[in-house]
Amino acid sequence: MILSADKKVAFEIVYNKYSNMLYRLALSILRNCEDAEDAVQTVFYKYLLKQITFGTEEHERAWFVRVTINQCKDSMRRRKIRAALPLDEIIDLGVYDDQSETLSVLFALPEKYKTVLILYYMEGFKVEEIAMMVGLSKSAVKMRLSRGRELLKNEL
Amino acid sequence: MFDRKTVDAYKEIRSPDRMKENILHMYKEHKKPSIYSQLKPMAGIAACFLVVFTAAVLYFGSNTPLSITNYGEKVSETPMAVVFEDVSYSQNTQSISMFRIGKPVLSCIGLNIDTDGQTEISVSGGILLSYNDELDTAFYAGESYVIDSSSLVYWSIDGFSETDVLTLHLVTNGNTTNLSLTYDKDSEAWMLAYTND
Repeated sequence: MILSADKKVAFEIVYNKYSNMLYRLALSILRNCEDAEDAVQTVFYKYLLKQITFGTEEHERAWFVRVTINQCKDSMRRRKIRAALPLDEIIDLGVYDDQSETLSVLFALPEKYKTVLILYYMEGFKVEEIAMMVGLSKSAVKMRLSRGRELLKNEL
Repeated sequence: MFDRKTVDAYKEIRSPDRMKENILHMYKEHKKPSIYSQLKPMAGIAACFLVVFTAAVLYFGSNTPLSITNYGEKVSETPMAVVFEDVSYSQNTQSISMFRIGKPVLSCIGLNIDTDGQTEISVSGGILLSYNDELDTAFYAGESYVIDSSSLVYWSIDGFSETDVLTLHLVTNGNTTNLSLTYDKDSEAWMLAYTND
């Protein structure tokens, strides 16, 4: 299918806005570079195919994060991916040596905890925004943040 | 929780340069099936559906809710994960005193309801918020309100736990449509679907 000029411009804008964030999120969930790339590609492909329009930027961002998480879960179900991202691979991604261990531990946490931890601490979203993105109530997000922090402290 | 260096290190992770081109290539390669090739094998089935649909319309009347969507996703019999959004409640209301103080923000499920005729809406739990230009009104479980065209309503389920099952009731010309909202542990999301209960 041919992408019209205005749709291509719209795609470029959302791609530049979200591609790195979604890739990092997918990588943290799937812990495999190729699978993360596949997942994020599929999300943007769905966006192009469905020609979705959003009322606000918050809706747009929530849609991309939500669909990425779902896509990652789907990939894990289909491929039985449980591959750990080794330390040297994190370093290859440009992550400094001193921080790679912390990130490796974070990435190894259960998905439901690391997703909210990453969105909150790494990407800087508010609890309300995360609740909207992951489809949970604010209190449930706070619970996961609290439990995730505990798990992380125990592991580090 | 994390020091600045760790956050910076995380943000150094960037998507591969080739990804954008790959996406555009995938889209370019996607072929839109021709209408003729789609219609030909479906013609017989479509004819059957037409008969059933016509009978259903005659039997149930034409004013049933046409569609309900959340974030552009159409609700169906197959449970779908709903997206929550924050709604700032601004007007006074006849029934909820907490809303008379300040402008609370509620985490809500936004539902676009398209209907041909008057439809009475109520929920088994939580708060329904109706939004239009003149009045924002909140309805608790047990109360109901009526819409008569395409409307956006918000359903807040703050305070409900993951073991609760909530229902949205819609009544149009005596025909009842129920939607159930349940928490799915596998997908870790609240799921909405039409139900026969």
